[in-house]
Order: sequence, then structure tokens, then C-alpha cells
Amino acid sequence: MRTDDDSALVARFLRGDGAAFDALFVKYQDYVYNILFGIVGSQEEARDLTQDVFLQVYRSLPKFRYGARFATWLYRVAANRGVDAARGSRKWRFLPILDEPAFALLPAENDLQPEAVFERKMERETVLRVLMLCPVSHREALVLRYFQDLTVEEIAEVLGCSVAAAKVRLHRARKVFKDNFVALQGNAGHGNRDTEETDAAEPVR
Amino acid sequence: MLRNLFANYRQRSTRTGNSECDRVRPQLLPYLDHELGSDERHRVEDHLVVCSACRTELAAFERVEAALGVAAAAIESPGDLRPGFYARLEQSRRKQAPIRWALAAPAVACLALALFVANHLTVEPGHDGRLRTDSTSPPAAITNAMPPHLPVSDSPSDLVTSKPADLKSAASEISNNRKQLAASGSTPRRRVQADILSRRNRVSRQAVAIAERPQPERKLIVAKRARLSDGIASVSAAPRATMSVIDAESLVPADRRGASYLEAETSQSRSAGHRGGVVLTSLAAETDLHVSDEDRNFMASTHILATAARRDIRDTLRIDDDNERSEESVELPALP
Repeated sequence: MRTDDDSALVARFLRGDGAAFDALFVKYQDYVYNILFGIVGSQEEARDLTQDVFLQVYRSLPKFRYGARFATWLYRVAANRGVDAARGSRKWRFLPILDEPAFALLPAENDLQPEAVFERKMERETVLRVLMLCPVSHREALVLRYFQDLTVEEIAEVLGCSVAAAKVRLHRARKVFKDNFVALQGNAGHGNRDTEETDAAEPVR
Repeated sequence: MLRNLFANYRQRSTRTGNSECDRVRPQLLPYLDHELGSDERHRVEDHLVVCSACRTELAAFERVEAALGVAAAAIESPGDLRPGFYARLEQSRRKQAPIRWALAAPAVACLALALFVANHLTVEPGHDGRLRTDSTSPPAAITNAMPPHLPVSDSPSDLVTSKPADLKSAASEISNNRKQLAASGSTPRRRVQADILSRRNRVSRQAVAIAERPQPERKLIVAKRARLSDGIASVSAAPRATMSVIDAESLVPADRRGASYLEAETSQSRSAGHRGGVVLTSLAAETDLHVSDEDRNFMASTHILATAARRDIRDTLRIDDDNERSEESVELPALP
């Protein structure tokens, strides 16, 4: 993503060009949605939160510092919003709320047999379930890394921490995710959960 | 299954007791990410050749990487969220618009009036510290600002030049009116009265006017809320600032209960011809007067005007003479 394109769009919007904000919305809508979906685990909630995020961005754009990347700033707003939502009303949810198909088939999978298609769908839903089992801060790091394809440096920028701290958080998150994923899939190996943060995945009582 | 799953979560370590495994396991992710130097990488690879547990661990990491990547690529698009976004944006604008209008319109009106009055109404101190005007009739702007059903006195200077005795009798009348109201009122009115009473102290402390002190004569104290007499807001100056709060409704005759006046002053002394001025603001139907604590230089508080109104509730301040003690009086803070 070219940052100068975003800066130009922001500048146009601040001069009163509403179409510029529309262009930013179209460009980043899915990225923001993916972050939020990965953190809150519900499509409907992710859609609502996406609109919230863009509303917040719309109002806050005059405060946007042109030196920062717009995308980084946007992702930070989205991640913060998602974390707040996940830590708020959904505290006791440890399963994702999949009210409609959350994952589509990739083009290469269209020719697969139904059993293989089912397996892939189950695996993707397992990914989402395991994400919901992870602490929110781990979810945040994993979503930025895997759903947004950000580098560790970019993740650090979004999270507002040092690169070393981002690396440690991501490392821990991947380990915890791996342990839970393996355990959920029923393979040999020990499940593990980082109990330093328990705000997201308490068992239902 | 879930119980076992959660039981497993409580295990914090996967140590095997093999020191080489314990050394290599933390390196698996950096190995996967190609972050190891060549020596370290070879050491890990040499260990993986002989250790199936570590190979399994690495394979698990690789599977997770793949699963996460594919899941990310396969997330169903939410569709076009713009219609919902713009609808919410419009909704939030509509919510803010009435407040903006309510805030802006009186401010604009007051500003226009203040400018006119400042140019046309000159106040000069008198020996008794009362304001005198040099016009025999209210400026047209003030007259026009008043609701049509409120009669205008032909001689507002009479009010501003009232003697202390007149003020005392007016205060006494106000007190009597209030008592009558208190005795007469229906339950809702009493509740409202109680509400006003409970806010008196706060309001009176807040409603401290600007003090313009043309040296060396006197302070000019202007009530934040008008003292009403025959529908005209008046100002009286007292050497010492004491103010009290009474129920404005007691000042307003029954046929004028649609409005009250708010009075403020311009704080800057400009020249001999302009020793401050007064701004009269019509409050069409106003209650729950909220006065900013810090707004000492109060012109015409828009947040007062913007608050929701209940037609039968007013609040006002009565400016007391030095010798007059009211039920509740507040010492104005010292003026510069």
C-alpha cells in the first residue's frame, strides 16, 4: 500500500472531498473487518465494529499525523476497538459465534471432493475457535501477523510497543496457539495456555 | 473432551528432560522464520534428525502456520459496509445538529445585541453606586429582544436608579410571592421548587458575575440571572458583592411566565463612554440552568439557553443590598 496515496486521500478529505474518505473506506474495509473478526470471532459484531472504527476515523482524521502511516494508524484503531469489545461484553465467550459461513472456499479448492471441502472448513473453524481460546492480547498479535500479514516491526508500530516486545508477544502467542490447536485437533501433545492473561478464555460456568 | 482440553491448558511446561531438546525447542520458531544464524540452524537441523519429538513439534508449528494463513485468506468478505456506515454517520450528525443550533442561535443573537447595546447604552456610576443610563427609553434592540407579550417600561432608568428602600420593598415582595407560590403549588410544582432549592447554593455560587471595577468608585456587579420587575431586567450595583437566589417565577407575573431574562455584562472597560454594558438575553423557556463554574466572564451562556426547558421553572438571582440579608446569600469572590 502506497502511503503517499493514503496521505493524498486524507488531505483531500480534510479539504472537504467526501469521495476521498469513501475511497479510503473501500480500500481498507476488508482489512479492518478481518482484524476485528479475528479478535471478536463474530461476523455480525465485526461488521458493527468495522463501521464504528470508520466512524471514529472519520471524526479523528483531523488529528491524524501525516508522518505516520495511515494504515498503521487505522489498524491500531481497529485493534484497540476489537480488544475493547472482546474484553467487554464477550468476556465469557470462548467459542466463536459463527452465525453465517465465516470462511469461503479458496479458488483452488473448488474442485475438491466434498469430504475434503468439509475438512478444510472444519480446520478453518478450528482456527477461529482456537483464536477465541487465546488471550485477547495474543489474538491481537496473531491477527495482525496472519490476517494482516504485517511484519514484526509493523506489529510493534500498531501495538505501540518495541519490536522486541512485539516479537516476544508474537512468539508466545504462536506457541500457545499451536498447543491449543494441536490439543483441539486431538493429536498427541500437551495443550498449553498462557495463564498470565485469563480475560478471554475462561471456561463457561 | 473439553474438560481434558482445559486440564491440559493448565500444564505450563513441555519439558522432556532432554537438555538438547530443551535447548532446541525455543529455537524452532526462529528456525521456521529463518532467523537463525548458520551455526545455530545447523545445530537445530542436526538435532531434528535424531529427535522425533522435536520433529513433531516443528511439524505442529508448520501446520499451524499453514492453517492460520489459509484461514486468513479464506475469510468471507463482509460485503459493502458503506451504506450502514453512512447511515450511522448521518444519524450521529442529526443528533448533534439540534444541540449545535440550540447553542449557536442564542449566542449569535446575544452577540448581535451586545454589540448594539455596547454602542448605545452607556452606564455611569452614580453616587449611590447605581447604574444610570443616559437614555430615557430602552434601546430598540433590547425592546425588540423582549418577547412581545412582555411590556416594556418607559423608564428603565427608574429601576437602575432605585434607592435601597425600593430594593428592600421589592425583595420583600419577592419573598412574599415566593411564599405564596410555595403554599399554592401543586405537587409537581413543589417538586420543581424543591429541585430549584436544592440547586440554589450551587447556582448562586456559580452565578457570579463579572466584576468590572472602574476605579476607584465601585464594583459593577451584574447578576447572571435577571432580576425581573415589570418584565425588565435591571442591574443594581453594590459595593460589596452579595447575592442570593430566589425563585424567578415569583418575579414573573402570571401572564409572563413564558420567558425570563438573563443578564450579563461585558467585562471590558473600554473608555469613559463605555464602562461595560449589559446584555439582555431572552430565554424563551428555560430551566435547569447550568452555569459554568469557571465561566466568570459570562456573556450569555449558551449552555444555559440550550438546556431543556420546563415552562414553569425559572431561576434567578436577586442582588441584595448591603443591608439586606436574604435567606441564602453568597459572597462573591474577591475581584481583581
